[in-house]
Amino acid sequence: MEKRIAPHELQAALLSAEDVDKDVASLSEALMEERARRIARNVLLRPDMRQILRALLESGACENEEEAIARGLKTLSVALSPAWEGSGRGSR
Amino acid sequence: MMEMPNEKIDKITVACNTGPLISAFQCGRIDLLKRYFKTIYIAPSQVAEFEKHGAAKELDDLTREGVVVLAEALTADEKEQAEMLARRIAAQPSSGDPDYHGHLPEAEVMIVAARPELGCVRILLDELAARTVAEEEGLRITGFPGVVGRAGLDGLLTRNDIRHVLSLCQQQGTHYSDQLIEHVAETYGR
Repeated sequence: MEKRIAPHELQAALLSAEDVDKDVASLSEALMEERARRIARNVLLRPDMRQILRALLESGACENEEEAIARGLKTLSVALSPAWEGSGRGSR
Repeated sequence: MMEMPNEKIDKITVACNTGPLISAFQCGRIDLLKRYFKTIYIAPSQVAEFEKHGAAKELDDLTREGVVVLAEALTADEKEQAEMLARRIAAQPSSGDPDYHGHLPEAEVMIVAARPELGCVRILLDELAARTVAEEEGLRITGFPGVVGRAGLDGLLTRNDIRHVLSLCQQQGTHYSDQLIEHVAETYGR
């Protein structure tokens, strides 16, 4: 027979559907923040990336690191989009 | 946001009240907690609750694995704060127990969750009264049904899996309503 484990707080009020929706969103946000921290850390720990960022900021092309990274990604996306469209990946 | 089941997850550190861990034990799905959480802190006073619920061995196994970590004992100041929190939980209209002593474990885990050195980014709480007070304290909350929902979004659980998982908890007395189970299954199941 499977082991049964007694419930916690038998008198406690029920969670609502709205509570669970908020919980899923809250957990998803926390996981995304952790992922963002890892990605930012790994990028910014690379000396070559830090050098490029410093050069971009000193040139005045970007106001801060976030803008430089975001613009870099957009530029790469535009540059690669013809190849994606050819392979059908751009429509995803 | 759909993620593939084998995609790398950046796990987070949380504090967890007794209820969400009991739910995971009841349905045999500790793997769902392990998927999203690298460390789960609990307060010392919760250990007796797990023993009372017949889950001492399960807790011991997770502690040996290093998934669950028993936080250091509360300082005198922290104990005072916990007692105030427990009184506020007991005074909530949704609290089923007006005696604050019964709410000390969830109050203590809130104190643990707020310790900056532990890096807890969420607290798992399934009891409404405690959740209300935790929110007032600025803590960020999730719970076991929320973990199940996220696993559904990640493609790990079908609608029927979700019904099965949450019904197993319900059958063992955990307060998940039929409507709640159906909502989680239909909204998040693949």
